[in-house]
Amino acid sequence: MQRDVETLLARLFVEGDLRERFLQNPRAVASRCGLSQEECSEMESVSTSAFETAARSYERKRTFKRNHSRGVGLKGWFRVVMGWSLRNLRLLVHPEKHL
Amino acid sequence: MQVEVTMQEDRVGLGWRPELASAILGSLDRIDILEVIGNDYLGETQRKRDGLKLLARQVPLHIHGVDLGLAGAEEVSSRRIDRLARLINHVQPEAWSEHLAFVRAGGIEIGHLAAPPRTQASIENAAKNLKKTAGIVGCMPYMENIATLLQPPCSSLSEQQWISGIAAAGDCGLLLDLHNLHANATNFSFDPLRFLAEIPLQRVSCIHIAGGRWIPSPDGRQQYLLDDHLHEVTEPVYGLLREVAARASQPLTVILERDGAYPPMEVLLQELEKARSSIAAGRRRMQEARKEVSHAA
Repeated sequence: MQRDVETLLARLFVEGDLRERFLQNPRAVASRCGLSQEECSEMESVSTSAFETAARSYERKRTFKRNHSRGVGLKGWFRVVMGWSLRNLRLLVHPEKHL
Repeated sequence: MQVEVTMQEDRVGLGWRPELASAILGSLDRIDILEVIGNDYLGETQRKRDGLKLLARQVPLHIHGVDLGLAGAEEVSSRRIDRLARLINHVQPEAWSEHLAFVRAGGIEIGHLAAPPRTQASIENAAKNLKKTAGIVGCMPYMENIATLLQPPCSSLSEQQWISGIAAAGDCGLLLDLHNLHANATNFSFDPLRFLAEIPLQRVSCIHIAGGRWIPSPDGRQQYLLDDHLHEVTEPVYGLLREVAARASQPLTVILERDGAYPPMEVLLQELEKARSSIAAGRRRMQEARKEVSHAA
């Protein structure tokens, strides 16, 4: 089924261990993931070189996104911490204004 | 007989990137349209969304979605569509677009666009997802062909048949990415002109152009052309743009995509000018061909 093929492809692009096993024995991995005999044969004919190149490319994209979102997250936290500190600093300097 | 070609409405623009913001705003006299990655604004503050809305009032703007995965076998979640719909309804862009791809399956996020098996089943599912999405957003997206390093296994249709099938079943317009086409044609040794002849070009209103680079396979035995948006647009891509402009009479909106390693703004503007010249050359060819036909008649 289309859904099973897509799930296997997604796993192969993301899970390095499964990918290694697949590249050694694609039919066995595909069969264990519930693909039909016909689909297993198709998976067997996938170009190993293209597959590895694609998987690496996806890995790079994920790393880039992770780093990017980590940067945004850190900036966000920095803003929160700075805002909290400034509020408390004002409270210490002018406690009467906050009574 | 005077030949009429609707070339006056062709537009050329640029992908909006925060790093280029001030340079873009200073060059709006040479940029007809901007395209914004919608996902960059989904988690943003109301202030930034308002800024985007203001930008859309100043210059024609398209929103580009990158993670709905409309061509996947799974039904796209209403929550994801809702988030994008809220942004689109707030900003009120001229149009929006997404990709002919899947990005997740079985709960696993791939992290980028992947080509699903090209089958009748995926055409039907993509059409269902498109209808659901258009129902929530309020209008149909333009759907973009993707670059892939891997020919999707378990496919029974060519990419052209598959794209044509989804465009017909979903009744959607197409965003034709010419670098994706060039990269796929190079990596899988097919003729891009034949591809253009076999897709419904009359549905193409938007075009992406970009650059890429050669990467070796891990075993070093093969080279692949990667669509990385980090390099200048190459001549084959301008050549394809000339071809589309010569074959499709409707107005075309061309967007240059650049995602990093930014050159000076003047270099990007020169690429836009090259795109304009390519469209103009294609339009001239179309006019000449039509004149010849009318003279022969």
